[in-house]
Amino acid sequence: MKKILILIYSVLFLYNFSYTEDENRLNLDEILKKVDDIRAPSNHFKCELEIVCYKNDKKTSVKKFELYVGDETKSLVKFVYPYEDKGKFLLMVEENLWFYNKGTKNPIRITPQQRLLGEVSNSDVARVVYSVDYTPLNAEEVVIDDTRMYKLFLKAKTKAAYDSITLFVDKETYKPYKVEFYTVGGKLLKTAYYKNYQMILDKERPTETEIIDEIRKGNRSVMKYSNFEIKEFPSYYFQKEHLQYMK
Amino acid sequence: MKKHIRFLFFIIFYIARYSYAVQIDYNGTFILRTIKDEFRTDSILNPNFALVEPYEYEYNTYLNFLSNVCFTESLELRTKIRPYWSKIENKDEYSNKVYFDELYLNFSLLQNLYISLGKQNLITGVGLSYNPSDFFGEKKDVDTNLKKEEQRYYREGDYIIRCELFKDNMSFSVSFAPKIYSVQDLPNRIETEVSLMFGNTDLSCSYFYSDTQKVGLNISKTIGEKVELHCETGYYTSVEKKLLKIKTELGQPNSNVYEYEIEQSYNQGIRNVIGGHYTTSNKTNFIIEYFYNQTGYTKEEWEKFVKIIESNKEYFLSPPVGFNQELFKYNLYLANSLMNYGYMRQHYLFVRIWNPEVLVFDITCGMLLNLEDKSFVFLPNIEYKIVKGFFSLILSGNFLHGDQNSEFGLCPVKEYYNLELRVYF
Repeated sequence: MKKILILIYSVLFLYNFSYTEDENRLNLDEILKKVDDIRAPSNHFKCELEIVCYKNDKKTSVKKFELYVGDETKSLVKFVYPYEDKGKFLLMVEENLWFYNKGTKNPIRITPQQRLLGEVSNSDVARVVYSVDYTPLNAEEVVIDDTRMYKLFLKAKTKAAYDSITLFVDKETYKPYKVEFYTVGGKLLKTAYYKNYQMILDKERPTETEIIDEIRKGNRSVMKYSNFEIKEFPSYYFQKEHLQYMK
Repeated sequence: MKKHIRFLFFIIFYIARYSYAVQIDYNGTFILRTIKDEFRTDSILNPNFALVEPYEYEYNTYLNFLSNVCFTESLELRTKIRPYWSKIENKDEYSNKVYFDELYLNFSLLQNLYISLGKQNLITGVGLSYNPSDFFGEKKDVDTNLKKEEQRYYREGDYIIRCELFKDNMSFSVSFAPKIYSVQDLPNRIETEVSLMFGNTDLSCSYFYSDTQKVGLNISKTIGEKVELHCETGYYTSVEKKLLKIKTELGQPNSNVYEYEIEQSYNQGIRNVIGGHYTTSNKTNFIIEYFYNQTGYTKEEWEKFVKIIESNKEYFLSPPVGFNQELFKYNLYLANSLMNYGYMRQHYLFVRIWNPEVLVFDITCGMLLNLEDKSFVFLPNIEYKIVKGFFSLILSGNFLHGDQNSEFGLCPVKEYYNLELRVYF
């Protein structure tokens, strides 16, 4: 009888434990989803983006783009400024990347490692949500500047730009505060801060992301988003052959 | 030709007049270039500089102007105009020309169906060093002083009617270039192409029909974070091959003095480029491509070709009794006209290392190697952005190396250096 009771308790304990794991997982996914909802106003939208790069606080370059997001896995970046880059496009569909120059009329495949935008990686620009590329592993609570935050540990699903990231999220509002990007070996590559929250399309959203290069000290980039507009695009808009018809 | 362009402009202005909103977008590059050439003194194809007169400096100026005029949401006019001016040192004459590389109307009938009409430079192929499936661009004149990828960009287009339909993850296009009397003398050409994605692999297949038939295949994909692989193949049912052939034996029998002519033969063949791209974490890019040209000269054909050049060079320098230099000069001219450096033989390797951020420079080092005779062209390029995105200064060179009887050793020019200022607007 004692053995049966032990067995029943064990089963209940294991059931309880697994339930907690599932619930926990659900919560982590929900937190990440809420963060993504703040970063991206919709699954399909258009916005403008300016990237200013600094070296030891001296402005080194300014680039401007138009960003078209089709759904969570499809995005198109149109290079607008400087003049040398006019007519260039970067297309990202899932983990596939193509670079297109209006003059050459021939989209070429590029690797995620091929950075076209200086300090900022292609996916920093083209991907606006985390849940597509990363799985939340666990979380802990921390206090930063008197604000209680979740510290989420995320792991790349397949071919994401970074192997793992740590995301700091305001516990009350789910606003992302900062994110740390790590290599496979656990080396910290970059830290990004979400700043300048403004009311955009019914929600307070960050309009600036400051990316600090942790390897090459003194290098940082500021990504400024503006003119968000919810817009649906046909699926062929994100086909590489269609790039030649982009205006 | 001018009449056709005037007619096109007339149509454009007519459309513009009745359009409710015209939006104009333009960009371009202004290029100022000085080329310093160094000629071979020991070239067997150019003995005593008889065929190609040496010069030291060449000056080029050109403007590359692109514009998009949107008349309505679904109708636009695209132009690419390239006024060009060139002068060679110590020569009074200079050449200037305005190339209309592109001038065409683009309109979408249904949301996913596009039709374009006019002069277009169609560019096909995933290869970098060579594009065996670029059927419309085959045999077009290119500026060899430019980087490989730019050479296809700065060339004149064809008068084409093109239709492209988009479906989920695939597109289908038909391009037709008709023969137009005194404007486009090539026979009617038509190309159909299907492009699709299989998983994470890009695949496109094209069929080209004209006086000959051609089939093109392009495949590309990325593996992991750092590697890209690609393959481009062209199958030709009939490729023209030109060889030197004895026309007549001159003088006494067995004099070994011949007048040559060009013999054309047509064979089916395959051309294939297979290569990859690797990017390191410090942004250095390595590109390697192998190019197989089945229709190129075989070892025996090449040796025979070189032997003809050598004997005519000897006769040119010391003509046999009863002959003057003109006959041998003519034979050397014929040989020179067959040279198309880079694609005469069957096996080539192209390698390029590129890093866009070496201190303040963008540095590229490329090499095209003939795997059969080991001659090569070394292609360094250093770019300094005076004002990022607006002004660039580029120093580049072509260094041709090889034995006297090798492909690149035959070239009358030994090396040339380019200094280029680019202004973007």
